[in-house]
Amino acid sequence: MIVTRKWLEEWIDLEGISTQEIIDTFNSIGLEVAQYKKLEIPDGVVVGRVLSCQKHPNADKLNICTVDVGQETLQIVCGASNVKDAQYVAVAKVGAVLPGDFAIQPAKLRGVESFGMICSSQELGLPEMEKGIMILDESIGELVVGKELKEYELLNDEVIEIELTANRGDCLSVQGIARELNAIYARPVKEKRVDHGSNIRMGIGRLLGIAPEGGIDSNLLYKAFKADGFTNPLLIRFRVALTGESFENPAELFGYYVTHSTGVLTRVYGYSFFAPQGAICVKKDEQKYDAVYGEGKGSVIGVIQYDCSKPKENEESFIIESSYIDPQIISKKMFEHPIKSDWSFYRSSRGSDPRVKIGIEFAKYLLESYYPQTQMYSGTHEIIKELERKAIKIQFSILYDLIGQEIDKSEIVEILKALGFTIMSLDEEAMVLKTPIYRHDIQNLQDVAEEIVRIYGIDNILSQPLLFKEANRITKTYEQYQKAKQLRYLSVSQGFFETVSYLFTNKEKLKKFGFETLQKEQDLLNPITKELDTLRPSLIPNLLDQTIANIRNGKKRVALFEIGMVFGSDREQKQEFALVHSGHKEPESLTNQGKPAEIDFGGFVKELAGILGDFDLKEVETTYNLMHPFQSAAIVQKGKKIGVLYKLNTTLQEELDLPSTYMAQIDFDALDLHYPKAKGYSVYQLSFKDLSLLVDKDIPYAKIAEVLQSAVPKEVKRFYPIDIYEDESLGEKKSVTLRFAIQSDAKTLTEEEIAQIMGGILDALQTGLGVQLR
Amino acid sequence: MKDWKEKIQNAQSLDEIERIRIELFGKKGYFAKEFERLKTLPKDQKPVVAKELNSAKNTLFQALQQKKEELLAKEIQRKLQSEKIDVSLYSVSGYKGAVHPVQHTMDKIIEYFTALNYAVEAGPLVEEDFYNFEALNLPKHHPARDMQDTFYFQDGKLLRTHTSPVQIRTMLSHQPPIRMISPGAVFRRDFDLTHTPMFHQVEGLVVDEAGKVSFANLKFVLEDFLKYMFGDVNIRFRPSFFPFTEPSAEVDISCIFCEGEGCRVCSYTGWLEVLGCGMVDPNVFDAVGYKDVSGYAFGLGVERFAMLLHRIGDLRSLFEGDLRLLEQFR
Repeated sequence: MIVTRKWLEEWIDLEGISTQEIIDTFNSIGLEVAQYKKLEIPDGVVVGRVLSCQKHPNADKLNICTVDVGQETLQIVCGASNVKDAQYVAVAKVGAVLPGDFAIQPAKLRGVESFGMICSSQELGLPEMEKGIMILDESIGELVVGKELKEYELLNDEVIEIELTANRGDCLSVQGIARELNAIYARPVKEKRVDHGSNIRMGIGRLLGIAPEGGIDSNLLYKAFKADGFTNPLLIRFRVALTGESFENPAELFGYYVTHSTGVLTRVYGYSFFAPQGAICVKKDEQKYDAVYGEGKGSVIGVIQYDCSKPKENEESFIIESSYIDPQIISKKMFEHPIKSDWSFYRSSRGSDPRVKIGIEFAKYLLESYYPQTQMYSGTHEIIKELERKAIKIQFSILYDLIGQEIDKSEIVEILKALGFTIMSLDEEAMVLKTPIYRHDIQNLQDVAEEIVRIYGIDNILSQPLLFKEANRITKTYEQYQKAKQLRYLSVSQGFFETVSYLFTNKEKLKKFGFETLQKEQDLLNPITKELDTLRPSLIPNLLDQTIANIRNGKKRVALFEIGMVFGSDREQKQEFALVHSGHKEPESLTNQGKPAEIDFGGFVKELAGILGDFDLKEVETTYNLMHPFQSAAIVQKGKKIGVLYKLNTTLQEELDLPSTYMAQIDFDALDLHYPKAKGYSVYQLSFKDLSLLVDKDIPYAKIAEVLQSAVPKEVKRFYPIDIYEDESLGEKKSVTLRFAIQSDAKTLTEEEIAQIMGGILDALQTGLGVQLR
Repeated sequence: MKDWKEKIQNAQSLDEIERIRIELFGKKGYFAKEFERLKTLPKDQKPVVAKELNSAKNTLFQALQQKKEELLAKEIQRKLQSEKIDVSLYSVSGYKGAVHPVQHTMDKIIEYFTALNYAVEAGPLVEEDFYNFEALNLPKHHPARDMQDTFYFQDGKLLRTHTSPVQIRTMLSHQPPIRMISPGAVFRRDFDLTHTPMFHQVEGLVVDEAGKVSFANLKFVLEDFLKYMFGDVNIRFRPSFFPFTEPSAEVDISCIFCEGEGCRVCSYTGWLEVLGCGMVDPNVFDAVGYKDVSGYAFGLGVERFAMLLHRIGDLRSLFEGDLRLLEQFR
């Protein structure tokens, strides 16, 4: 919502109150000021009178004008076509500096000298009103040739943009904003009306009738005027342009100006649209909107006016309409049957001012004050139902509890009255009030409390700590949060950077990578871009994208992780923990002579172990094309699969131009970070024995471990591979060296006992796998 | 005697000391010989010479011992010296990763509220219209729905546009008193310099019996919270509008960049908007079937906090995993 200081001053006396103070007031009462701008026309721009205008002999589009600027008459070459019709114009004299550091100097245009410039509104830092130069008229004040334009206060106005909240339809007008200021400064909002004198006018009834078909929800008021050509004065065009709107049809612009000024939805129809029927026909249209008909459908109340009913260029008589429709009704209607709308729907759906008479009266006032070529018809046509004002009972004790302190009753009453409430009754305990007719947003005690609080000032409410019943409020969500936090810091200590990526990803990419995608009927209806057209089934695709970007940025070691929600094919939500490590294993440093090795399987596993603790790796079927078919593993923790880790498939790696890249995807919920319970431990000698075996090349270690698991006696506390050796001399075999940690809980084992245990192990391996000792 | 002393003093190594020791105190050493010679002396001279000899022996022994310790210390020093490295070569950087600034900020927010005995609650990201809008006093045709451009799914569900549906879910599954926050990701169809389709919020809700929870209480907790987050800032409440609270307010802090003087970050207003809050609208309580209760709610954007706290200029950079940014938070 845009207002200007001068525009506001038409509705309320602001003398002695600075604009900054007004801005502060707006902010403090809930009208957030988004922007403030003081318009300042530069020095050396004066009112000029065009004395003559001739075509330039050497240029079709240029005109040579002589312009009276008071002390002198200047020859100025002007390129704007509308200069021909202009009488008074804005002239930037030689020496003036226009916005954009544009200094006016004498110039020669196609051989003709020019001393100054006739300006368009944009060249002066004002909004665009029309094509070509700005044509001045006396709506901005008496035009004195040679007078500096910066002295015209109405043009050098202060523009305030207020970011209105959705509930304040009543503030979508200059009058509405003035009402708010009245509540603070106690200066009454001016009435804008003219009462006709004695001169006899023709009644509207002589022109046309009204034919309501009944069952209409809207309130409507019509008035007519005659005009010998309809053009808007500069001030009106200027202000409408300041609000950011533009209109082709001058009568529509006029209606918009009335609406923006008063808050009453106002439009202008051409009489010729109704002439064939001789009446304004108002009825429900086929979709049950209230509509106005003449020669066809002319408008939908509160929604749109169609071009056919707008005044034509040679229109002689005009019909002004002020209307009101309940915002609930019209926004519900629009939700059920959306139709095209113009500027009016924004206002009608947020609640325009129901006092239609104010709109018509203001239109009349404007026409009489600024449009000398117009003449009003007397009388009106109307369809008006009396509207109920809502009554609300306010119990003071409830009000005080809500606010947290008492406020003097007389002060409350004063605030509410200034806001237009009517106090119906008042006693010690309670009051009953009626809401202002234009405040559609006030429905209950809490709404009224807000009105009191915002005018009383939130700053004047004393902060108070809340006494609250203490309880154990540690929730499952909190425990999960703590687990995630622990994981995050563990990952950081392993050199990984946490990242946050969008919940979205690209469906095509997912298919290429071999991920499962959402079922079509559960997918996004309105994605923001094609690149982000579905939900992520894993964090990996986004992590991979970020890795690629970092490598392209010249990073040699990229280690990223994310904990976030991912979605299965039927959109079930689950939390994933994913990591990517690409490129160098570690930073370049002295210890690696500046040439760190690339990350490899073992290195990545070690990093993961620093985060997850102990886990086993098992061979796994690859599920995505992303996964390297021969370097993929299931991560098994305490016998349960919690995720997978894999090398990025070499084909993709090359295609994506990445260095060696490893990734892990872990099911956050399956991951166990519980602090373990202690068990007893043996105090006897712990011995280590190594065993080198020859096994078939294609037997995975897991197979050996499986056999050992069931074969080793309880004295073998732990066994693990420590060396793998392959050589031509071994043929189709490989040598695997295992280390066994042997310890009894009951005594120190003798060498013989240990040898016996090792013998048993070897036997089991020989029978189970056919391995030999190397 | 003096010669011996000098010899000991001039010894350069432990080996030399050992040689001198043998020369002096060995079986065939100087003192052995001298004591041998003692036997040949007349009886009356013996005690005097013996005394002198003993005293010389003691003096030399002590000198030797002292020198030996001295040399030993030097030896150790030399050995350690030979192991010297240039420690400054081993300055490290780049081994540790970093927590994301948004998560870090979230941690700090959660820390504050859990210390105040707020429960942490969560809800689904894919929501139903009822929880995200309807129950929050945002009926289908409400103009305020424009404020939140929503992602919809083919089957009519939506991505939650705020964390507020968690309020509704919590109220439906618990009885008052309730004191909770709900941190998490939210989604709006908006993508430009200052908007990303996903961002994070922390929602707060406190509900107790009627008349207990007031606007003054809301003001207290938020003032305290913002001082915890931003230090010694000025705080102002501006009346505002949210469909689910009434009265509603937006909360500003004095600009932490220019201390209220006016700068680019605060659009020359001296204030930064950081929070929205209000007293829970009775329509919301009606929607969850609560009677005779009072409560407040608030919500904040975590990215906004993170950008202010960590001086991050570009919102979108928070979602790009760009190490040029993230490495700065190591």
